Amino acid sequence: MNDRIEKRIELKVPISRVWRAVTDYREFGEWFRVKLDGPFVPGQVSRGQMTYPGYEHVRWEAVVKKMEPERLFSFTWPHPKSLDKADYAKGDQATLPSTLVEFRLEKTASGTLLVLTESGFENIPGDFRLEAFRRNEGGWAEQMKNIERYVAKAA
Amino acid sequence: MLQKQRNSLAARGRAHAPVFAALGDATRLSLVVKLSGGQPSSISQLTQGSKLTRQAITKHLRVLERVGIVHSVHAGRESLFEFDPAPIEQMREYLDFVSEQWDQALARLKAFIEDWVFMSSQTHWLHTPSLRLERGGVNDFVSSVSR
Repeated sequence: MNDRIEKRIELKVPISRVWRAVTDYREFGEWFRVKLDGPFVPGQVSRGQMTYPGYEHVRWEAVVKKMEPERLFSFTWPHPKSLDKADYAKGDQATLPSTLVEFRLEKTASGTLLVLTESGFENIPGDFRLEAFRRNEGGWAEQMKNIERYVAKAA
Repeated sequence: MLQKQRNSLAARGRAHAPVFAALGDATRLSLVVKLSGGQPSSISQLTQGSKLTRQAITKHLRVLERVGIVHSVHAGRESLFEFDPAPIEQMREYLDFVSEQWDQALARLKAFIEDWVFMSSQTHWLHTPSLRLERGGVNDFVSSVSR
């Protein structure tokens, strides 16, 4: 059973530019839609607040694993029982069940290949509302598409 | 409506984890492969060609049964095990969902980088003499309006 997700995306910019967009906490926050408290540091917990519309109250936490310049950036993504700040604070990030997210960069003739993987879904136990949130984000994306369709029709 | 949807989605999310765990074992995966043909099988049939004992196979079948991937049905003295695709389909659906989230995030990353490339090229233009001139013209216009 394939329990990992893998995505490949070609970007027509130098590897150094992609590395920055993925590992600079401000740039990461722009496209990931999270306002992070500070830079990513291997072995440390990265904390922030989601900026995704409708989810601004949701905390974001991850444990940065590897930062091999222009090659590999990885973090584990804990799945706490709830998204409440208190539950996040209680849990030891290193011991919470989590999935592993990896960004691998490769130089290509026309720019950079970014390979994203998320694995370890088998580690996630029962009651996890973060998943409900992530599912919901899809609901929002669907809403946005609906709005787009609506606008296109109205125009 | 949205709240209701959220609850049912959360409930389905809860069900997935044990399915992942149950499938995270080579023996159990091979049992699922054997049973996924659709034909209910007995423990003896499932033990054939395996290095494991009946007891070990039974234990693995019980794990699969607990998460609903297999069901046991009685046929005379024997228990037959049959495959139920629903939990795996739900898990697939869940992974598809997470996968879709990443598609969206990476699309935003791509747009973010492309916007940056565009902005850089704009800045570059501003340094070329003709555009600097044009920009000066715009500034003159603005200042003339404000006067």
